[in-house]
Amino acid sequence: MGSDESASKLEIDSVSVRFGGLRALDQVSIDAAPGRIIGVIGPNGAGKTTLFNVVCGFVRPDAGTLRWRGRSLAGVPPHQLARLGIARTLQGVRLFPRLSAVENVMVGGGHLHRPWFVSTLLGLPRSDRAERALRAAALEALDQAGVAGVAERMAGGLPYAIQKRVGLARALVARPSLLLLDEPAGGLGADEVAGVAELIRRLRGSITVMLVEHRMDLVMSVCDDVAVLDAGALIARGTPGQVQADPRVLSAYLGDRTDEPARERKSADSPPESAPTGSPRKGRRQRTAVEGKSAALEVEDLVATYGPVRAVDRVSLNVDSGSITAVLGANGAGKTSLLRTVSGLLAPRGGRVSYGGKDITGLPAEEVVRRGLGHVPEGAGAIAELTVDENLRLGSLWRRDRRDRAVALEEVYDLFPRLRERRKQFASSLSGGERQMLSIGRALMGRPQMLLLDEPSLGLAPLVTEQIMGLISGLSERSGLTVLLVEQNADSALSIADHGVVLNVGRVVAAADAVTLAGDEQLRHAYLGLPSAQDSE
Amino acid sequence: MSRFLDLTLNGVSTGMIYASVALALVLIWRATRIVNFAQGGMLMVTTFVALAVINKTGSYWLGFFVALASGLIFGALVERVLIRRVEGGPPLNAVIATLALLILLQGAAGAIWSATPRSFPPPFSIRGYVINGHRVLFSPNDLFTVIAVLGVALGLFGLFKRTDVGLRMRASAFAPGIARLEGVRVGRMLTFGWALAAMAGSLAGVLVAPAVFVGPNNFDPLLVFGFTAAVIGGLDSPLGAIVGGLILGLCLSYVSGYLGSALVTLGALVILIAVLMARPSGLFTSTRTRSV
Repeated sequence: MGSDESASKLEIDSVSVRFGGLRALDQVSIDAAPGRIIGVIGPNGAGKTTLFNVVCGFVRPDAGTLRWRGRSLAGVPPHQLARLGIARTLQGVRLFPRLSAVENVMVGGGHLHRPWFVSTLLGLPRSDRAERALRAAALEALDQAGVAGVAERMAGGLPYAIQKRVGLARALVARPSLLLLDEPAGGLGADEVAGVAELIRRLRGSITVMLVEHRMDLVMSVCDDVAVLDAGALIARGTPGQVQADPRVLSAYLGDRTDEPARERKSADSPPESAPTGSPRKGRRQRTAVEGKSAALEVEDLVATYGPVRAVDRVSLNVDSGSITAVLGANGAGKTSLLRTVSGLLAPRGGRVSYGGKDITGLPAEEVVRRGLGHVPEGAGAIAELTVDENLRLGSLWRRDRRDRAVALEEVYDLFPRLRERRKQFASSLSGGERQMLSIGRALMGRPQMLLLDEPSLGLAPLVTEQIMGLISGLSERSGLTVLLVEQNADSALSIADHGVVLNVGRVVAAADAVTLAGDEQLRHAYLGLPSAQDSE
Repeated sequence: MSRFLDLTLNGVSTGMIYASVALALVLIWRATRIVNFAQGGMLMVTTFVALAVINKTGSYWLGFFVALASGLIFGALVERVLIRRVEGGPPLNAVIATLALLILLQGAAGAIWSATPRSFPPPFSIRGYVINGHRVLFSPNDLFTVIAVLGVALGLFGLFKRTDVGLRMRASAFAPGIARLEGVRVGRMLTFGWALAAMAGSLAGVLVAPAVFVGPNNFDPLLVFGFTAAVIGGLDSPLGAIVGGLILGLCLSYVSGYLGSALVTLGALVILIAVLMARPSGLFTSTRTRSV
């Protein structure tokens, strides 16, 4: 489209970004060759979004350079990018809901057909001509995105998949030479992803495309090149096939398999012979399972949606009393939504949840916790504005027995001596690991029989992750706590779990005991987008 | 110098009244992200109720406590009946709902008690103390005003910081989702928060009533100044509300004393703009970065 396609090259050269003490990007160099499609992938917290924001000018790099068509992009503000032939889509679309689809797209091309402001104000013929030209360009872009039929419909009322395509048209209308796509497949079902993949493939050769995506099926099917980030560093670069086979990529996604202590612990804990599905894998577990009352939590055909997005799609699973079950899957697989629906934060759209033999479907969260089912939310679960002590006490306030609340507080402090030292400090001053401990400790203040744990290792160093996994395993062992553990880090989760369930795009694609699953191809399928029997069904 | 002292003392006592209204607005904003424009109407109604009780029984103190109690009940009712229906919707809905309530209350008060302002008795003398032969612009009634507002503010701080229900309320305000996961019934906390806020508002109403008289529209400036004080303090911080009220009271007292009382409203706006230019999110807010 641009006359100088050969020069349409984006060069990212040793870019580093720090947020406080955190190194979000560490000397990353990637170049996007003209007309090619490059995908940037990596586990949560790898720095993908930061890289994207650096290219868009939202984040200024601390070191390194960005060049587009040989010109430095340093200091170019985001709104100037359109004039340089760079367009982007936003995560989660963000159309103007009360404008029609075609008007939304016209917004994206406004800088190309801009008449003199005063002539617009006075409604002079020149502005009408410009408006007509812009509208025609917008219709063409909608057609290119395969949604010309909805041009006059109000954007807010369109299905999510269609909205995403309108968003794409909004970027295309500016006729960019470089298109930056932020999670183009986020929130879409498998067949809709195939459609988006086809669209992006059609751009190959005419536009340089850089996309950030969690959905491996899309990345692997459309990209010419894939760059893999982990903890801010570029760890692999190559064709989709090369990257999928790269052991460093596998370990970034599944946890570090070469980690010596983890391996030792695993071999010591697990029986040498492969345990049959459904049976506990550790000696101690056999004991607890015998005295346990079979299933603590039963989930049947559960459906949950965020607006038009089906986040949990007919999920069924059972968690045995006293056992640890790991829910695994890539970002966006529906793991967190599953937990939120079980604990009552998200209202289910279908299916059934029962806990301890009683139906708790649709019960609000504040009642579910009173049944002994605690939930440790993802990420910043500690309330930053409260002190450590207040955070912990909050977890027990619903319980009547005041004396036992004090006992529980001492027990939690015994479990986490670090928190006792910091009891008067605000949670905002704690480190990531300490906050995670605080979140878990707060849930324990309610003396739950079962805990839902959402990504306790997120953003934590391997050593801290190991400590927290050890703690969860210990709690289960000592007090017979039942645990449903959601994790991206499959290897560390499976090292302590009895059973594992793998989700992909809201559905269960594999369920087995932890040892079987740890050696299973299925995991790689769900994480890295290799074709598998379940996907092609 | 004595003029400066007079104006300062006067500023402190009016500032405390603004602080009380600011506190009412801040408590609600912090918990529900709603600016309660109806607060001016609500404190007007409770002051009318207090006046009716005082006229009937002859006891100021009975009227005073009835005002606070009716504020509590009124606040809870407004949250349960009106606000709960607009919560979680577009922010404009809540704004319109509170404005509608303000107009409704003013209309109803005019119909019931007529639009003619009535006098309201002060509990203590409004003649200033005599110090070194000079009568200062600070009366026993002003002292009562300062003590009453400080008392209620300290009581509220104590409630928030020292009690279980206060902890629940803070958790609900800061992180409603997490609070629910810990078994806090967030809806009840909101009702209670509105009740406490309306009580702080009704306190301001009875305290200012002897000076402005009681009528359907007589408390409008109080709402404007209270809102200004809340914004100066940062809208999010109860302590900021008190400090913002004091700053505004002092500044307006100086403006009125040195430049002329006609400039008071203009002065309030100039102060507001000056503070917002220097600290766009108010004096007592920890600035949060906007996410892209």
